[in-house]
Amino acid sequence: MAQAAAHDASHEAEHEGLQYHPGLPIPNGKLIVWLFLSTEIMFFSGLIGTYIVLRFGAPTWPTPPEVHLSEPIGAFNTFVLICSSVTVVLCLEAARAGKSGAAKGWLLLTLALGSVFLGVKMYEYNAKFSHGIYPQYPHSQIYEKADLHYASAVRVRLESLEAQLQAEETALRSELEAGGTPVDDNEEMVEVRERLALVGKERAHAREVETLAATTSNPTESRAELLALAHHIMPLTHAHGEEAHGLNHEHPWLKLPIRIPGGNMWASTYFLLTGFHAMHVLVGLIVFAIMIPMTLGVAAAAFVENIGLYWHFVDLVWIFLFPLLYLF
Amino acid sequence: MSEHAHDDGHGHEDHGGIAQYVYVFVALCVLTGASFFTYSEAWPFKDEPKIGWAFMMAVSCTKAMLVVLFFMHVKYEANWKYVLTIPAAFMSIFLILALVPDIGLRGHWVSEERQQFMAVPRSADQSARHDGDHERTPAGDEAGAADH
Amino acid sequence: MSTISPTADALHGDGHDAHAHHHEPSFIQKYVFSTDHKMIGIQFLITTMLMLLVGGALALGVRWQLAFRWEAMPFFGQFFGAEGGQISPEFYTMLFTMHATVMIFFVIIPVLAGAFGNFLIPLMIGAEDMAFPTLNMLSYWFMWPAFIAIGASFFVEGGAAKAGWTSYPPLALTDLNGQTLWLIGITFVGVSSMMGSINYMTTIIQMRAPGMTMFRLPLTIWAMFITAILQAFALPVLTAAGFMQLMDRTIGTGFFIPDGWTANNAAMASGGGQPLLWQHLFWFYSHPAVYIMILPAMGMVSDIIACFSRKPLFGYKPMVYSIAGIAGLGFIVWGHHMFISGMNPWLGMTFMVSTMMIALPSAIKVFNWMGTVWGGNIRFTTAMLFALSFVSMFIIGGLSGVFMAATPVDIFIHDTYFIVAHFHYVLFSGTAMAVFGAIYFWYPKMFGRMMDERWGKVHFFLTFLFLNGTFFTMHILGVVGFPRRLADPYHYATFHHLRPMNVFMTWCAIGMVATQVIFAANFILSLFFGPKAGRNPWHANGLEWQAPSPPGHGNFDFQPVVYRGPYEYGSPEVDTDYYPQNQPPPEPKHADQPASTPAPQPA
Ligand code: HEM
Ligand SMILES: [Cu+2]
Repeated sequence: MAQAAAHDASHEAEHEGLQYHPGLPIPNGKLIVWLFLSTEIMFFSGLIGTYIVLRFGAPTWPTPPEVHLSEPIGAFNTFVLICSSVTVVLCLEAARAGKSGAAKGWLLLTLALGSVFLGVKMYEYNAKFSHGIYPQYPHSQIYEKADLHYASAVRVRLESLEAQLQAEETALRSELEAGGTPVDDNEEMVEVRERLALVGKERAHAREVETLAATTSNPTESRAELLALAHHIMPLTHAHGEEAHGLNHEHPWLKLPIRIPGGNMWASTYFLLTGFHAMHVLVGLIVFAIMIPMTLGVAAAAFVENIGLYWHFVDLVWIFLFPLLYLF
Repeated sequence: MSEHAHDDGHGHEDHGGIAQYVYVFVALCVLTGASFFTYSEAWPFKDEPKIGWAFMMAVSCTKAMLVVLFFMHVKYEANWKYVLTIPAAFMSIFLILALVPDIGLRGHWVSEERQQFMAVPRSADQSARHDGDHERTPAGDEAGAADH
Repeated sequence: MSTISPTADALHGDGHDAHAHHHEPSFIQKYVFSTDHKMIGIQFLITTMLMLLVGGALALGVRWQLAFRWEAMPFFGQFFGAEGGQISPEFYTMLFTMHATVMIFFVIIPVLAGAFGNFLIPLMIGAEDMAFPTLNMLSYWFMWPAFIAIGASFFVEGGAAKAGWTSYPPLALTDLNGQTLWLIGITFVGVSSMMGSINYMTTIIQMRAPGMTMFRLPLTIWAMFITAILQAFALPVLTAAGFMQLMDRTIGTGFFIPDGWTANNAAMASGGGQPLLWQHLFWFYSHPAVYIMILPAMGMVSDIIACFSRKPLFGYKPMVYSIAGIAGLGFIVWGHHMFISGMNPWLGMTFMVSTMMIALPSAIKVFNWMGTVWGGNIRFTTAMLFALSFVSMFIIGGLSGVFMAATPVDIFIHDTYFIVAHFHYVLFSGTAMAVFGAIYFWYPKMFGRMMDERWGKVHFFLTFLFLNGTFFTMHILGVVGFPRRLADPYHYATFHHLRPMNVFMTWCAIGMVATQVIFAANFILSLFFGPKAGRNPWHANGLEWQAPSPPGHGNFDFQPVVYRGPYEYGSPEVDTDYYPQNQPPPEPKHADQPASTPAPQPA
């Protein structure tokens, strides 16, 4: 039977371009990008869903000022991304019309807007980091409650500050004495001593609270003291836009542990969502950068369309993230 | 080339052109402003954050629709668009809803033992500090779930 | 006829694939970084077979401990375990965790979608390759970081992951670096499957031969298509959850860390998270994943059974709809793994009902297979034997599934050997047997030579016997309450009398692994000494059988045009008892048929 007909692989047939049954009326590239975007929808709904349930099930949640979240900056970034979505469609239209130069211009503008977005994001992250707000470990200064752990963390931080300042003072003093300048009027010296005094006072206070909390038989009393300590360092705020005027605010160099109920979970989810979104932005920017040397004429329009779809999707995710993270 | 197979039926002129993009852009900006409005002093429902949330989600969905329909050209695509978008949207909403009873409402069924370790609801924290000062704050309200 | 150009590889710029035709590919291009779907499929096949070996060795370690606890394990004991070849409790947990991980993520999923999906999809639909060959190649090479991560995890401090393949926190959070590597590995497997699945969907939608309508597709293709959809929707959620656990472990977020949790005497974690969240996200992927692990097998079995019953497949459309139904329902049943997790009881009840519903489409499939065999002119080839055993064993696995789906029953048997029996019946006696069958069936197409039928049958009967000896017994153990995932269940006096049964099972398991030597020898020797196969050794209808064996670059030496479905066996229209999909009907009415098409006629 058929075995006889088996003179096969060796003779490469002229099969270039087999014919196919009509499928969907779109190019394969566009189809696969859409399919990819459906998987991305599921990815982000896993992440956003996690945020929603964790947040609304949480007993408490920080207000934006407590975690140094600025709504106007978020709104500005939303605006930037919307603009970049527009420039990407304009790039596509230009490419379709064969205006390669114009397309390139729009593409560059998109690249620039995307970079602005990332730059603002970095600025925002920095604002968090500089206040000790990290997703917990190992840098985070966030404590969920004002309890014994918190008081001793404050005390430990103050003690290490004190040691540091004392070392500074000694070094400064010997330097000044060697130079023959009067020690007591030196501006730097005055400041160091002021700081030392403040740290010493706060350390004593923290120690007192800590001892009370560790030994008292009356939890209500120690609780009030602990809350007062936390309040003194960074008060909780309610309204949007209200600044927290605590010790940490007045003396930013103190960087004392702060009490933000729900702050760790806030940091976990905030950095998760914005981090993955920023990574998607970055990938888009890399592709844009690769496209810069290409001729963005009619032949490249399909490619521009595909990356555009991706970029709009990234914009879309941010459209949901902005209210969820900043305004809720 | 097959890349243009979808142009057979209609040229892209009837996609609405540049003017349409500008309209959509303006609409998006206005909508962003609208959700940002909840943050301003003039927003009347400061005491009821849920109204603001619902409003903002509605605004976001509208914005998303605009982007999908016009920027991603879905308005002009053939019927495959339903196959690709609706199941994904449905599945994602379904996933989130399914998480609500166990995680979204976890504060409702929490044991007392576990409660000792939980972050203190803001309202409780406040009232302890102000010694029975039961002012109603929006933030206190957010803590809703655990107050039961 | 409007056509879609296949080489438009728009993601990767313009068609460099088209140029590949013109120069002879180098060895590296042809065998290593090949973009040819057949070579990629074979790469997947070989890799997964080797991984099967690894997984089997790990399983033997588990079985050894259960039968001869704390006794030095001969041979394997030298490589791992505590001093003197003894298996320590920690090592035992690592063994079963890695056994499941390797088997699920490195064997079953890649052999179905990666090996057979790759090899069969373009051939069966009449395409010259996948829509995106480069992406396809990447999907294979993205498996390697996973192999490396998981492989390396055996050698890091504390050894490989030890929290079970389900990796439930908080236990999984206490584990040492092995768990981190595990998560990285799973992420890579996920990315690889993602790339594969969107590529398969595009190929199946866009690159079918003229006349190959959706309802003329072989069931294998339908199953692959729906599996790809399942992967596309379910996998990203696992990836997201995996990242979260990774972050919990490394940078210290708290998604899955409950309030007040401490471990290893470390300071109390701040918590605020919810361990149940992981279970939900994990099973949202992993229940659909069990269908990812069986639907392609069901598809291939359908093709094999129809071919060797020489009868049209009974109820083609119901088969398609039931695959779709299983897939759809598969998304709303994940909670049946969590009945005793402390999940909301209302959810539990919903999940119980939906799980029971899934037995319906499964039963439809079983009855249709039986209807296909019924009254057929059955040929008991090795492939057919494996396919038939798939059907019968799947019934057992499916029925035990329905037991466990009932919450009151499951509360009793959860985390006992009953569960282990269930999933080995569906995964080993089901999927793995179907894969063996598929290898015997498509081997001639892959390599151009036949495997030895006599030794194939020996392989089948021994495997069948030993697997039932190993796995059926597990039902009995489970009903008694014998717990899974415990290094020493005999610690409890209640289970002492189950020891002899475990010894029996272990011997069966050893026999089962040993039997695979026959298979390996048959596989390798047939590559060189098997009889030449020819295009269509089984007299089957599918397009793949009309291409050369093995098919050259571009698959078809003619333009395939399809006139009918793939299951027209014993058609009265022709003299042969098979009727290839591309054979033009006898009446010369079809003038619109492209004249240039040389109709390949296996006499
Ligand atoms: C008739 C359809 C099926 C039903 C009703 C069913 C039901 C169940 C239930 C209720 C469980 C949870 C038992 C427990 O942990 O207490 C379970 C576990 C499992 N099932 Fe199925 N199942 C079915 C088919 C399958 C198939 C087709 C596969 C794989 C191809 C599969 C693979 C598994 C696996 C791997 C587990 C155990 C997971 C683990 O805990 O490690 N099942 N099944
Ligand atoms: Cu399941």
